[in-house]
Amino acid sequence: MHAHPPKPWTYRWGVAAVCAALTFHPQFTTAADQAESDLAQVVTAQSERIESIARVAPSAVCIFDDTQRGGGSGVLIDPTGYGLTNYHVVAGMLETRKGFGGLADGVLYDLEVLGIDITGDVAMFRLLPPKPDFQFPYVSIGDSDTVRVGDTAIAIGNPFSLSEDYTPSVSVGMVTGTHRYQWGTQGNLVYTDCIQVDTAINPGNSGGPLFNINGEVIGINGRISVNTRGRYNVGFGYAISSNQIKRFMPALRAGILARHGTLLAVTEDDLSAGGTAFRSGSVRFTEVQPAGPADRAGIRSDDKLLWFDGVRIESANQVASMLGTYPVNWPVTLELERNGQRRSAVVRLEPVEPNMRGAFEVDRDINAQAVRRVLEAFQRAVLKNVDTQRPTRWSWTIDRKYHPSEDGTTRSDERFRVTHRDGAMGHMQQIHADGTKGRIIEYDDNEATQRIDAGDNPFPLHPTEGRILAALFTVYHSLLEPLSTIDLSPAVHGGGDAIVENPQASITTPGHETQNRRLNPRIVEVIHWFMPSGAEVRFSFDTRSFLLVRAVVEDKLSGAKATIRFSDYRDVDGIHWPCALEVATPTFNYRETLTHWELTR
Amino acid sequence: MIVQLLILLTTIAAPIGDAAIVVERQGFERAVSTVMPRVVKLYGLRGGAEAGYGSGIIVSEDGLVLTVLSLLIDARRIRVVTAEGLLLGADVIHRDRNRQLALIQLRPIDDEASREDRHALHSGSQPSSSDRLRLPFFNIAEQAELRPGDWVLAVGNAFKVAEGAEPVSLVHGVFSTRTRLDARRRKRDFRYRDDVLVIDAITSNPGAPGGALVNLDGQFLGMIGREVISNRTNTHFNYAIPRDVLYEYLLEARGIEDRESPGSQPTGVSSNDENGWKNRLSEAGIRMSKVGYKVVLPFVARVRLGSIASRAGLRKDDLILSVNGRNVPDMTAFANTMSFLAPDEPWDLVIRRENRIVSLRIEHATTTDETTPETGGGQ
Amino acid sequence: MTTHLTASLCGWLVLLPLSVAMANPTPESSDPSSAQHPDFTLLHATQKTFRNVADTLRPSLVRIETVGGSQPPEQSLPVDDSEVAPKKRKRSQMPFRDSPGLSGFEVADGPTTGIVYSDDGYIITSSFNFIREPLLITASLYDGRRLIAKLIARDQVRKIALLKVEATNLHVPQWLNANQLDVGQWSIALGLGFGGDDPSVNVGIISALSRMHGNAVQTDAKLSPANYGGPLCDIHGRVIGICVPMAQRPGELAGIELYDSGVGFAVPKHRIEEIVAVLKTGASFYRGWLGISVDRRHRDSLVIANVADPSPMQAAGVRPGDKILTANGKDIRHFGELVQTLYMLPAGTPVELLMETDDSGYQIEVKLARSADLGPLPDLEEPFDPSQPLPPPKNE
Repeated sequence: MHAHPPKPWTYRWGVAAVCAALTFHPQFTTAADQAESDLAQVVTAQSERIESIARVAPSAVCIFDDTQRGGGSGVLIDPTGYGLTNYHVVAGMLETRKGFGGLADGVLYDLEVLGIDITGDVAMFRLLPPKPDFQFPYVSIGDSDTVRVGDTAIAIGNPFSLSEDYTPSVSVGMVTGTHRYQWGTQGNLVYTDCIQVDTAINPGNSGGPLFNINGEVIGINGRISVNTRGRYNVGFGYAISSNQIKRFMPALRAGILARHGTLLAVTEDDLSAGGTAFRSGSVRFTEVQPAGPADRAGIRSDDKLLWFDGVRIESANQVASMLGTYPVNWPVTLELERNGQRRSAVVRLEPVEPNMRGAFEVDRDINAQAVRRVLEAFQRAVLKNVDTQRPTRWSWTIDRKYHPSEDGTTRSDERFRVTHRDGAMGHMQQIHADGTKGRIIEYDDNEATQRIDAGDNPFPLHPTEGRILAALFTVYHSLLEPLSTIDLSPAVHGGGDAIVENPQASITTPGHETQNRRLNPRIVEVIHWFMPSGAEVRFSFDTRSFLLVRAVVEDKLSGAKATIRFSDYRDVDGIHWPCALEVATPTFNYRETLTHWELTR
Repeated sequence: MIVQLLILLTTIAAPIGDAAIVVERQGFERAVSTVMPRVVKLYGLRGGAEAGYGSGIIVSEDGLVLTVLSLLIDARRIRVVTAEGLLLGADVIHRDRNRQLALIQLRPIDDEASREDRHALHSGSQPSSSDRLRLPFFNIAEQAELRPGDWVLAVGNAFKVAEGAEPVSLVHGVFSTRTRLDARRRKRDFRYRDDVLVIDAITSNPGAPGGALVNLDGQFLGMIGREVISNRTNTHFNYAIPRDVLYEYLLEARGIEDRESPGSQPTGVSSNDENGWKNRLSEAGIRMSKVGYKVVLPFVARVRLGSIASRAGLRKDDLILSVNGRNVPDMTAFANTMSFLAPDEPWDLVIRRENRIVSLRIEHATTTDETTPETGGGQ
Repeated sequence: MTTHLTASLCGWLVLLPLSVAMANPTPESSDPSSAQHPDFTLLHATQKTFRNVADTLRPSLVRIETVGGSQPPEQSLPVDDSEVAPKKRKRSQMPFRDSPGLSGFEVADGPTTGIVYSDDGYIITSSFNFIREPLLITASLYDGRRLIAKLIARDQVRKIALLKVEATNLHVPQWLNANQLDVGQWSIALGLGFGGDDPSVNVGIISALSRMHGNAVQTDAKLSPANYGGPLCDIHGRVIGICVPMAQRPGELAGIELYDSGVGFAVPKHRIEEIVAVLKTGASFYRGWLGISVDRRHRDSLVIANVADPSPMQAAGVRPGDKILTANGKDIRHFGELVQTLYMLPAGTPVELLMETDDSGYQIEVKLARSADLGPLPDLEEPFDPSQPLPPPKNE
């Protein structure tokens, strides 16, 4: 182009720009700067880990038997001293059910064994508070379904009984496998769907917690694979998943021997399904025990099992593994296929008997304590302030809407005005559409009578209706009494259960195929209440909120059976109360909406 | 000028593209997802029962698999289950007793046999017979950087925890160091004596040998070796056969029909020369002491005047501490070490003389330009 | 013009890639399910840090080699009770429930590790390295110098040994104090036990700050003969302690069975300083013995069966049939508890015992003795070693 001498400003621009870039460009930081930045990153992460561990380590328990000889570990899960461990850690303590638990504060606390799960190798214990209102350090239980290979896994416990002052030993590693199956011994201590880790776990770590990086318990360590070297860690430790334990916790708190559940049916890999099977295997039932739960749910041999509790099934191993994590009576949701037709079934599992000598008697005191715990929490959840909030007189309006029966008949809607008063029977008066009054029903927890008019002679209500009202009366009266005055002898804590919403709906809705996430239905604690009439009511309380969600009434003598579902909890004049009831019986079903509350204290 | 100014502004303001720095949050996931599909579960079957299990690594798309030379390689039938759960058979292409490695070729098996085996192994689905095998594989020619302290994953079917399409197990740790293997198996010296990668993670577990060692980026580093006890520490040894050794072996073994070969002899992997070394010792002018009470120490009793050893500086009463880097605490160790050296390998000796430690090297007549005639047969 | 254009073009071309790299990287929105494990860049940074630790410490590491010597007489280690049928149980086997063992461990003859303690030539290592009583010890420094080392003294209890070499220009590493240690921090063990020039690296965390009666820090890094005697370091390359085999009982080989198990021990600075102060004088610490055997027929109390003559217990007037109630203030109900209380105390340490006879109680203070200073125990070939189990009871 033109033969110019270089213009100074162009040069200056260029040089200036390059200099500017050089000053700020990361590539031109020195190796030392990079090393410093690496170290800073590592130090920060290390500090977080140290802090995480410091937060949770105080909840680790060194467990000793009643002669103070060492054995294993445990972890505290609430401030009143409840904790989890392996069954095999406390197996030697079952005669006295007593032992000791040492904490990092250097103190040895008295320990009592609550419920045990021999098949699944879990047990619950309680450290006794040395004085009332004592708060134990504790940790929260995480969701083991979120665990993935590669996650940091921290084990805390007392390997080789090394601790001299009850400070636990900590080891860090990572999750190296999920949904693993470890065979048990003679049917007991079976670890199904368990978490595999390479964190150092040695004899003595049993019963101790496995934490994720956030300090939540994702499992209880209990087994290791060993080689010819002897009983030492070789990078293969197994922990019972926290989600499995959650299903058993109500029973364990109640001091029950928690049994696992079975379908009483055998599944096998469907080898006839050939082709380029890329991970999508097929599983079918090959044996269905007559009168067993699968049989009663209509499952037959050769039915294909596609989904189990929200998880796509690819192998019979997988079914066995998943099944091993459920308690007896748990409702599992199966998606089946026969001759191209799909259907769902909810099946309640039958018990698996653990292999044990002798019987495990439920300790009445422990069970009563568990009942008390649930009712206390229920009262706190609904009454807010237990002392002042409890009404002495309740009054409300019910709008009852009957659902059509199976035979097509239906009953007309009804409205009632209900009043409950301390010391009196419950009073229900029908109100007709035109405002006139109708029949009157009076009831308590023993009997129920009905009159058409105030002056009439009362006659007994149909047993089913009567038992329903008796159950409701119990709710308003017995369940809300101050616990120090209440007679808890009719109550027994029966363990846990799950409430499957919408059991009839198919789980393979569009889009669900990609979800493949395990169903974790609401877990409830079940209190059995033995009524004066001889009927039994099973009250189910949500294990997290402690709200009453269900009551199942059963009277073998009269044949009465009903399920009451409580929902639509609202704030009613300072009380948190269910304002919708769904009642189902073999002959009629209805929904009640509760409004126009008047409460007197 | 304006144009240049505009360019300047646009370049500085350019937003980052996808190809540029992305903060990764997957931790070990990348390594795990890379290695899993390339490791297979191996089983030996005799009759209807399993006779040995282990792991292998896929090194070619059509199903060449490298593994350790374990008992299952000699089983009547070898069965392989891929990460996807496919059940395949395998033919042995090559065995190398010195390196303790084997190369097998995967192939589909017929439905009948497959059904039986799948019952025995609780696993496996059948690939469609019309499909050619197209498997993910490790390119073991590719070098990867590795320094002590680097994270590694060791992946294999230890304890056969995994069945069918279940993912095999893994352990993580750091690369510890690279060293010569000096180990034994059931009281007999282990034949592989070349370099190994020592791992700070337990790899010495049943079923793991034959599995893969990878770094954080999922790059292939080596293969988990057979369970042995280290002679240096008397402990179970956790190690992997390095990639470069495997690659060398693969090049040799490919295309060769199933037969045993002594394998080539890289330094360290040599056949045992029981007595030739004694001749070489005397050729060099060295006579060792036979005196000792409980233990005979490798003292030099005599050095012949004018011999190679004498010229190299060896003296009477020198105590030999190590030969070519190997400690020789007594005559047995000395004899053992000497017998494994190649005929023309020079000897780097470290000796104690009075209160000093001295290093010297003895080169043999055959490797020097000296015209000293060879006496006696070497090898 | 051409020159000017080229020059400015060069400037822009350099600028272009630089500016692209300058813009801030946009982090991907994190997938919540992967938030649990450390991220990739952190892992890369961590491994670089480990490399740097090895580089930092290398000049202080010493490769120790020994020549000659033989296997110690104490060859068989305790075996887990449950694995051996009662009839086959030998006298040397121990029924501790939680300390499984490795039978017949032989100490190998590979190189071992030590570190420079002070620049006047003292080297610290583990006494594990000298179990074979070698005839010659050599120390190889980082710069290739190989020197003959003199064994000054040993601590049999904490498994530490002090060597001396004649050398200058030694690299002394930095040490951490006890108050600088945290459970959960990285701990890196370096060793030269494989014979190479570069140290082997084994990584873990600090598992507990005080074990073995305050004599050790516990780590889950894999410790073994490959790194016994070497340093356990933090990520800044400072020494936390010296890796040693240790268990809750004394004995040359005690603790080796825990190799690579994720339970390992390192003797920390304050303890090392105390120990070295004594070892420097040439005095060694020996295992402490009482000189008694225990009557196993009594399950809930510790009743003495025999007393060696001479022995500290004999000098204190203890007779067969006497009961030990407490040792150093701790209740003693069985011999395991006695071992637990005394195992980390070397010979010469005074022990306070509360004793009981049929008609009275008495309190004594005895100094633990060396085995060489104990006379024979009647009915037993060896004096009582509280670490060893008793002979099976004679048939009642």
